[in-house]
Amino acid sequence: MQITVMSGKGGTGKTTIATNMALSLQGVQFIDADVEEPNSAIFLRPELSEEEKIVWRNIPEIDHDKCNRCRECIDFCEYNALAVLGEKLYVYPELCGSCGGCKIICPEDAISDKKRQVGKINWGKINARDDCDSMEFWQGEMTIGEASAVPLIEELKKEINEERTVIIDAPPGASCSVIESAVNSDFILLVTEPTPFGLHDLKIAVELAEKLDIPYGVIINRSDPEGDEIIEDYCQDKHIKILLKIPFSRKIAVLYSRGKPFVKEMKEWREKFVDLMADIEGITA
Amino acid sequence: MMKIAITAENQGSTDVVRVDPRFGRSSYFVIFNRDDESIEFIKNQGSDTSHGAGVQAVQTLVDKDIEVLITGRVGPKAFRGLQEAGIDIYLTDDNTIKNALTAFENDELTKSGGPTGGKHPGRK
Repeated sequence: MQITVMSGKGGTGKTTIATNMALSLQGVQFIDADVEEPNSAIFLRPELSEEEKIVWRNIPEIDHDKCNRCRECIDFCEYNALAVLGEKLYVYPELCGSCGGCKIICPEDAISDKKRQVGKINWGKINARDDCDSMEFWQGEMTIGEASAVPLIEELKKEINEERTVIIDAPPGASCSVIESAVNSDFILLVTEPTPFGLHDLKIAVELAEKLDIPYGVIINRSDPEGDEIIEDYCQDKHIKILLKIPFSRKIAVLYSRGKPFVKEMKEWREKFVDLMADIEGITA
Repeated sequence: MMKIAITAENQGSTDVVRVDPRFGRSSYFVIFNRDDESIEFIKNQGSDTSHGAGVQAVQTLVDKDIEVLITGRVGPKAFRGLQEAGIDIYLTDDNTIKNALTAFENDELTKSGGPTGGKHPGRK
């Protein structure tokens, strides 16, 4: 079972839900795919192995003796990563999308591959509870200034262990990196909050889940009986199931601010996440 | 021969049209040829590209044999390209094309020595 925790809006509680859910279940593999700001480790406190895996992508390297500045590569490049300035073909690695097209198209065979670091992958184990087997933890961390997280998330997802309950903490938004995180999942948990911002971005996330053709359900975080209507009305209208509500509670907020998963202090919540998992299994069965 | 490029908000008379403060996403470039004092407006094809507008704009200027650029601000990637291509950058703010050109001729514009905002955009 592979579950991706997603939300249109940032700061709605993806990491809160993903980590607390992970700590409530048995046999979990946690994947932090929010590679621009991987911070689930703050809650999960894994023991990371000393080893790490560096992830590379290819960018063009120009053989200036062979290049006759014909510009076929420049015309081809959708990323505007190449330019002839003065007498030289110039590469902008941070703009390059690593599609490899320039190398193929070059009539002079003047372009070869050069490696550039996209980010790194770390892993470790979490022994959070005596009554649980240890959780497998993986996270990607993108190199500052990189344009796309996709190659790194692609590599990270190669580590998925299908024997386990895989929980993927996706980046916010609805762009390529989110799609890469969610693709091939069995279920998408859409986290939202009862505000106009939450609703607006939830609609975008729903559209994405529909396009990916993956079953999904909604979790309302910072739920408030007097405010949830905004999300409830939309979900009712679209026949979307609201699977769980996490209350807007001072206690949860205080624990969050200390980097503590709330299921550790409020053990009754573990049951709710176990039930949530049963619901998801029911929907996907 | 010396050709000057100025970023422009639209096409029209140089004493009405204003300098576009953006370089890569400028709407037009005005090319002023100092030798024959001719003026040409060209549309910036890269103004709404999703990636690398600055680099594309540099390429446009290089292809037009521009030696001097007058604009509002230049980002780090475009700056690198302009430097590589040997194009001098002069900055102006809130000016018509004509006034900017006059100010340049009178040596009143600041020559830019780095990307606008400096190497550490977040620092004062």
